[in-house]
Amino acid sequence: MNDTDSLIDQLAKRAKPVRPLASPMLRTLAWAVAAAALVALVAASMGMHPGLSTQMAQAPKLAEWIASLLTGLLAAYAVFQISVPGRSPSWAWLPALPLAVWLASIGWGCLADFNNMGWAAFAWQTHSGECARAITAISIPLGITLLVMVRHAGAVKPAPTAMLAALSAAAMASAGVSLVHEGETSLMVLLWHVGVVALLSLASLALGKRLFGWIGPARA
Amino acid sequence: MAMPRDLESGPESKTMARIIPFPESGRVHAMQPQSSPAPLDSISDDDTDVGVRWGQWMACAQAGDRAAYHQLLKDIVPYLRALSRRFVGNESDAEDAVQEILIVVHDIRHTYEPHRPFKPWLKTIATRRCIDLLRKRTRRLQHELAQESDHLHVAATDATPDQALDRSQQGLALGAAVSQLPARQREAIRLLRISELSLCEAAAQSDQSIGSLKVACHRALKSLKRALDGKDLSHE
Repeated sequence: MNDTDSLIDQLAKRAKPVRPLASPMLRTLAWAVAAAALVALVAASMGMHPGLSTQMAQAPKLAEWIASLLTGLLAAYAVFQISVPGRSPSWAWLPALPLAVWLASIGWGCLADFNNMGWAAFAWQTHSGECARAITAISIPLGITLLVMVRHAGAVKPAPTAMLAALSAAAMASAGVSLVHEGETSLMVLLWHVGVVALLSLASLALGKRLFGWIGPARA
Repeated sequence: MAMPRDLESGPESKTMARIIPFPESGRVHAMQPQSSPAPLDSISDDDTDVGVRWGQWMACAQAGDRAAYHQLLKDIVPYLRALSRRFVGNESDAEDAVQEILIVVHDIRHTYEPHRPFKPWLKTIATRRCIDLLRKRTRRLQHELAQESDHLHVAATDATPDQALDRSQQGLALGAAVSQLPARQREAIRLLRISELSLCEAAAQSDQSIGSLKVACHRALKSLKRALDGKDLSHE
């Protein structure tokens, strides 16, 4: 008997019943509920900003918010798809469209701000940096939760899975922070919201394998 | 995780297990693996019957049927071996790859979805492990080459700047040529020529016999001579 044969014997002896994964849709829903709970907790503790209803009455602002939310949800769905061996890697492109709409609506907002405020629309607003800190603080637990849910991806597609997980968590956090923070120009939203989302996603892409190594391998 | 050499050239490594009927749960233990002679070339993604049976066995394994699981793992080994050879090239590395793939399959067997095809699931895992192994091998090789460059640098410190540059370039060319050698020849060169071990010491550190090391070293030197033909290797 060679080493491979004895390994097979050992693995078969150790095999216990396992529960197959739930469908990507179900797992996305479960994660979305967890994300909504965390965002609601933050919103409740900080309070919704008073101009929220006025802001959401404007179609471009509403489109921007919905696009950020959809980016988060579809990126999570893509995570649950591509992390399963044998599923198409093309699912990774799923959040591309809402992401493009999100960026376009912020760009449109920049032009609208310039039209209304002139050059003041491009003024530096230091206090907007709080958004970046809040998004990061919410994204980290959300992202880690998502990575733990798909830790089997460490053996299959660590980098793209980690990137999409970070994109999902940060986009959801950005949507949440938009509910409690106000008074920012669109340029600051582009810089602090999208900037942090991009930074976290790219960092996760670069460190994907290490992140999964830190979380630990999946054990059925 | 190396496998004895005499088994690598055995019939199992050159044949694909024949498709056997899907057994009822609890009866698989009574079945013997069949050594029917399907050539390796017949292993293809179009072989849907095999994939369907493997999928059914995996579904049983997920439910706790150890006999079905054992049969599945035995059955997929020739497929994994053929796939690994395509990636890593040599027998011993391919066998290591097969064993690593089996461990990953075991660890994430819950990710197989019984209503979906089994082969793409297995192939994704296997391909990823092979790529990881290749990357590890490349990193190890780069590390070894860096160490060899350091040795060459130390040896060249008493030379004139021109001589040192010349030696450094020759060293790099030699390092690149060594990196192109098959793993067993590279190991023989590293142990016998770079580390300057005796044949007995080298055989003790390797899974190759003294005879194999001699042959591998001889072939490696011939390959290096061909690769560096026309270059001055007097410093060697």
